[in-house]
Amino acid sequence: MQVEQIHPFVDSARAVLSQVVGGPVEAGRLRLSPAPAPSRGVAAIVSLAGQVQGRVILDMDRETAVRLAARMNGEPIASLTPLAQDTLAELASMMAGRAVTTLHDRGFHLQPAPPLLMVGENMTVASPGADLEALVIPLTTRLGDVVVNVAIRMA
Amino acid sequence: MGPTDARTEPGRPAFRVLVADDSEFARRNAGKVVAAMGGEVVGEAATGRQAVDRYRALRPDLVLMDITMPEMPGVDAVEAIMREDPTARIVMVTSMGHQDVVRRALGLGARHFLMKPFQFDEAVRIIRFVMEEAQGPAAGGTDHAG
Repeated sequence: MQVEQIHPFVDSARAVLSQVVGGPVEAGRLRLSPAPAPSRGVAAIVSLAGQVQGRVILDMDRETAVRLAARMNGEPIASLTPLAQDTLAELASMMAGRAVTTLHDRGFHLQPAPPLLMVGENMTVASPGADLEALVIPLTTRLGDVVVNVAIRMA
Repeated sequence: MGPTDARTEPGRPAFRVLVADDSEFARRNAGKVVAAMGGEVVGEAATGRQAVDRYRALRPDLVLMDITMPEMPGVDAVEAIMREDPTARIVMVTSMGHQDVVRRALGLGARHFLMKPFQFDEAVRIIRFVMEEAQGPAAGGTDHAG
């Protein structure tokens, strides 16, 4: 795992979350975690291809997901409606896009796939055959906790 | 009065906009900025192909174009639209702002770039700049507000 490729995802997640939440985002203790990754209930996943391969997951519980979606839309949202789901997918896309931009400007060429959003109980996100180890960064916002799970490698 | 002023006559929007983005949230967000400026979203597209088709049908004053879309990327849609209408005003709205993408889009004729997530005031500033630039004498250039 290349730390210099991971930092842009963490920095991007903090910056984007801080902007959409409108407040500071605190990072908790980093830890390594073998895939698969257990989810808190809502997982926005962006796959990466190119010189840097893997995936990035923004993971959170339903309540945080709904609060984030409401905040981003500037209107009340009571549940994970299709609009709320699309909003969270776009959040992941924005985070990944900014990180990809940073990496590209550093000479790493990669492309993010359109985001996937998975919602469910007792869910894990697996990458069969990828043999990836993930760096897990818990982020605390005033709307709830978001976990950034980054598993990437050089192609 | 120009296209970025308040409505020039009752019921007539200041300017007409096509919003191209595969995210409903992103389309709604862009629409809020347009509405606040007195403009009207006359069409939406979720793919680059739809963006080209709807531009042809609607001839909007402005296109807000995402880059990463299915069927046809936004930059390819820019190329297709500019080929048909070299006067088209297109602002790229994207989270992918690295140099290659920026260079290609601007080289094909996009007028400006807006990075997601964008601040409301920044979006207004850029849209106003692009719309007012088009009113100037023989603009034909790629001056971009900083």
